[in-house]
Amino acid sequence: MTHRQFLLALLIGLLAIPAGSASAQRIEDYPGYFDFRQLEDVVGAETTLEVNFKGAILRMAAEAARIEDDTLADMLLKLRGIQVRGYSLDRSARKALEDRIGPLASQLAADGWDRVVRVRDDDEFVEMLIRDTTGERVEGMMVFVIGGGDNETVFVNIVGEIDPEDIGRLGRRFRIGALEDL
Amino acid sequence: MKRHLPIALALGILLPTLTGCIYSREITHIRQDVEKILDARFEREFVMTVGPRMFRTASWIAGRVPDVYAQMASDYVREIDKVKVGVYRVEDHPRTTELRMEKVRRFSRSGWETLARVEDAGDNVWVLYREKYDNVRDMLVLVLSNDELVIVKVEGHLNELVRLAAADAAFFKDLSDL
Repeated sequence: MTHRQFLLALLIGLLAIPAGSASAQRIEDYPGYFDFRQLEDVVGAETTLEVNFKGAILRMAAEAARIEDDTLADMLLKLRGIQVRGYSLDRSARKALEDRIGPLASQLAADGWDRVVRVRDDDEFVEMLIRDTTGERVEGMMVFVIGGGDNETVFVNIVGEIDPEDIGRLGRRFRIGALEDL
Repeated sequence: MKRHLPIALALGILLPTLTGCIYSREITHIRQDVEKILDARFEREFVMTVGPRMFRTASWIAGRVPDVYAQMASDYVREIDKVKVGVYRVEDHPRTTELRMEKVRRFSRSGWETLARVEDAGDNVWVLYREKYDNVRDMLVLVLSNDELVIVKVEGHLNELVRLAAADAAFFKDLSDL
């Protein structure tokens, strides 16, 4: 899936869905937030895809989602934000990036994130981490996917309360390959 | 003379509803910002602003059509205040496409946030929005291709617009479930 198709799927998915009572707290203050500026030096390439859903725009998306899927709309209302970054990288750049994302994921794990999925094969590199500071619910999720194609390097950060059972639903809805089967 | 009467009437109705229809200072400023940052030059092809009077008129007309979809359209259109469109021809191609809206003073100062940005096969798309009182009030879309820059700004109660659409969809779903 190209970045454009991914963006379209995400926008249609979200807009075919407003999120609810967002508090005035900034998304950056939530434990599950990941600051993508950390990645600028790690990736060493400009983003070719950037998506940021938060606040009123996320609520709008949840409202639009309700047209087709009430459960998804309710799930989106519990979220504080969805951030996506995509990169166009050739094979050698992807391989080099895999070597840098691994240590970054380890650093996140040391900072309190839990590594829940780790896939490494010839065509796919996936690291998925969740944040749970209370021991009761997932408060954020970070997914690093480096696929086999030039436009298949995508990093996703979901901020807010997530039921692990809903992760697959989110993946299928927004065509995030690495999440679809969870 | 009779032949031109319908056209004259149509213009008589439409013209007062268009505000600043062939010029928009805001769209021009955005174009200038983009030119500066990308080190490019764009030539105006078409700029249009459709203002609140046009939308209120359209809403009023649609509201009087005895059709449920026209009534729905009437409600949706009422939530839109203004649409501005600018289409520009690329005269000098950009030297870069690294347009980071958060670094553009005009945008960051006035509360614009980037919803999406995508670069694909030479085309670049930016979608920005602005909140007011916890609602999405403005959306701005910029599309830069090899030969054109298109700028579209929509102002209105966009959360309410989507809420209405969702409520209508739920209503029809309930009807079909009966």
